[in-house]
Amino acid sequence: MTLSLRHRRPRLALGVISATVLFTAGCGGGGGGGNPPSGEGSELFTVGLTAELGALESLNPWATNLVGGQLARTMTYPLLVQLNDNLVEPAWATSWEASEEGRVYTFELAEAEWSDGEPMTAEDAAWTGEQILKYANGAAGLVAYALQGVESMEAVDDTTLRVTYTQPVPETTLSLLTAFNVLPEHVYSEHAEDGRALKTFKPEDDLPMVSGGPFIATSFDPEGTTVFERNESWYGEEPSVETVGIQVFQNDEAMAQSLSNGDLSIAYAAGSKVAASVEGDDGLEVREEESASVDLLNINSSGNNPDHPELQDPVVREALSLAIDRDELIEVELDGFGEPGRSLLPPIQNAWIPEDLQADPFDPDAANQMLDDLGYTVGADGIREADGRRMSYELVVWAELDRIAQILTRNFAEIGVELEPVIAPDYDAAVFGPDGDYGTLDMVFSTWTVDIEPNSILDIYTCAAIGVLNFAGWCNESYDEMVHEQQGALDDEQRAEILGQIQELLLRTDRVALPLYHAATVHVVAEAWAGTDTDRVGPGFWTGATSGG
Amino acid sequence: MGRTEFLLRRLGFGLMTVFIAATINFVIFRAAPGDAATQYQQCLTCSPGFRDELRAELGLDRPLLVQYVLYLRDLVQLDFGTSFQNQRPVSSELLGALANTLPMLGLGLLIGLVLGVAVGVLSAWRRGRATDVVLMSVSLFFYSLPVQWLGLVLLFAFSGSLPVSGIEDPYLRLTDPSTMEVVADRLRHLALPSATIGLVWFGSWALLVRSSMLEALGEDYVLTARAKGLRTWTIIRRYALRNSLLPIVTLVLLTLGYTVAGTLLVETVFSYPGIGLELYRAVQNRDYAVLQGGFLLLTIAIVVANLLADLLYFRLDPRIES
Repeated sequence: MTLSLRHRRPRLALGVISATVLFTAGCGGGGGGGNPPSGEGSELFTVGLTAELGALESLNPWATNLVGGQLARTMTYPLLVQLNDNLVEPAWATSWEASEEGRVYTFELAEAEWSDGEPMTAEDAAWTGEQILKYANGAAGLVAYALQGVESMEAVDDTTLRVTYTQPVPETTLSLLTAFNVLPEHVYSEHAEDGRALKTFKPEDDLPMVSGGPFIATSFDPEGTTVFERNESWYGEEPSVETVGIQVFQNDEAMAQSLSNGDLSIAYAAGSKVAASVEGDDGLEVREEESASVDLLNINSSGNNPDHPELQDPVVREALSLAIDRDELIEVELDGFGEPGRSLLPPIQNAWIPEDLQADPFDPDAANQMLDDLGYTVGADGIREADGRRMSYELVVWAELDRIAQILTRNFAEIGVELEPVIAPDYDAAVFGPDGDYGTLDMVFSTWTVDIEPNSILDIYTCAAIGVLNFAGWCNESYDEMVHEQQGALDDEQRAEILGQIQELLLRTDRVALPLYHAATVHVVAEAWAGTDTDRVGPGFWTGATSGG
Repeated sequence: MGRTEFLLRRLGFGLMTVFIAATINFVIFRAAPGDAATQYQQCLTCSPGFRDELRAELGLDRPLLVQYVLYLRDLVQLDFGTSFQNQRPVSSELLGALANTLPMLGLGLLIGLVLGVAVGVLSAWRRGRATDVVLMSVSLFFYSLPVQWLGLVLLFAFSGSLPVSGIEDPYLRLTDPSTMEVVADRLRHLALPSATIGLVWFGSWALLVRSSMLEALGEDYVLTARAKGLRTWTIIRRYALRNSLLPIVTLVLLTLGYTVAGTLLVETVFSYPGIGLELYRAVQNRDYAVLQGGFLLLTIAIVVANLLADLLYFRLDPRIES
């Protein structure tokens, strides 16, 4: 028996094709790479981000701390201050004054209104601050650091905001406020029954969302392109573009191709891989900026490493540091976009790094000599023995660091030290264990990206951070005291001196962590948008998006 | 065993499979190290209590048995829970993503089938000749290609002439487009991901069609048809190809079930917001809720595909029932 489809076949084919077309048109949505116009006179500015860095999970500041969300919020929710080449400058606050003792800062705000016509006042800022402080150690945990050290926020009147700190703070501390997005109280207060409700509120579900920045989100796609249109109610300088799109790419190759095709105005914090693949392309400019990150090799300094007590010796640690070929790490891992690690503080905090604190040179001969002088002889298998114990150490890393681990393994082998990388999908479990106690491991890799204020990275090595972020397990009361002291130092010279002592103790006296490298922040900008100032963090980045040089 | 009884047994077996898969889903993701709060382990700016708050919010601080019972209870009510990452209902997230994947799969299926059948038929008819050798070599070549590699090659080759990411032009709506412009835009965005899937599939289908056709062409009824003087194309279309369809139908349906999961690689390459990409991101974020729902959905897809294959067999081959 044969099939009798002869008469139905043409209709069947037509049906399948029609269904596919209609289904395609009407179904699903989201995610998009368009062909936007660009260049002088263009009304559209397109920003590319990789998903790893900048997926736009939400426009609610409490819900996500990825770069994409942060960028989007600088367009929609007002900031008191913004950064320009690492200097704090006015944003919504037109000026500010510090009290004599340095605990109270009074901000004068521009007269403004939200995009729905409601007045935008100091009360919005004070309310936002109160909610953050209330839920700082819970639902507001992602944004609370912006108000680190803040005791209270108070609206003196509609355009005056008083911020009181628990102790005197230098003016550079105000840079943390670039992460303090003022929320519209009349919108968010409806969801303020508890911190969890505030955190899970989604302003992107009701578009166009209420905005107090230069743009308003008019369409939202966390895995594709979110579109923002000019906010006509904005108090500040009118942006030169009408529309902004933030597009998320799942991989570097797709973003690089979009750049080459002219579909993007800028690939923000594109990374070395994208930069290396498009470097030299016509119409594209690779901008390498001061690094805001540091990658470190932490050495167990908890005193709890019975298998390898020799690792506690700063001389051994110095030898390990001299054996590391930092230039090779930078070339292989960063395609050359970086510099050797000289301090715990990244280059954007250069003002606080003593000039004589430089990266350890690559000198395996000197390293070998140091270990020879300690009497750690090389065994038949090429591995040294320290008082009868093989100098074989485990290094906790995550899977993506395979190449770094290989280079370090090879480097250490040259001085008779064996390194065994241990891939740890759950870092906490590997380093701290279920009780939060520091384990008996040998070394742990860590990477941090910070802003211009040193406090956050210094806090990592405090005693309180053991079980949380202190991957060296180091606890030193002098260090803790100095960290606290510099937080309240109002005089820059005094603060610089204390910070110098901190770095000397951490990186030279005890050598708790070995700085490996600082990865540069790399943007790729279309030539047509060469006038865009990538040194700015805040609404000025968007209002200044422009062509020309 | 009659058809109805057979189908009921298959349905029961399918439901049991789904239940076991649901349990394995629950266990396996919690056995893996870390949870949704793990992504904040090296968060320098997060407050110490944030991760505990997150775990409490997601119910991860409850005993495992309690979590399992709640999970089964919700499942029975067809409630797949809430995404850990964005607190949206998992069902709407997955269905939305699936709705994006299906047109891509459908077009890929069409491309693969048309090419596969055409190449397989021609190759079988020209067995042993240069045409056969060339076509089979090409089929084997595409069959052996890693799908993500092919996707990247197409991405590099066609970037500039076709969109290489996403499902639509997000700026098109600003120009007040017509329906046809929207359809054209969607099809342009579908082209490369669908072509990638279609090209990888066509290879295996061409090989199967050729093999099945060769078997049919050796049958007595084909010899009879030749002896009667029927034209070549008539013999192929009316006799050989129709009777070769059974294994092809099975393979297509089974492939469809598995390929919903296999689109992950294609969707990642083309930043295409489908079910594969949704699951990939859920793995990265340890979003158990989405992973549980997603893998259950894939299990159901495979079970349904198997069931459909059985149903079609009854329709296509009356010998089965007798």
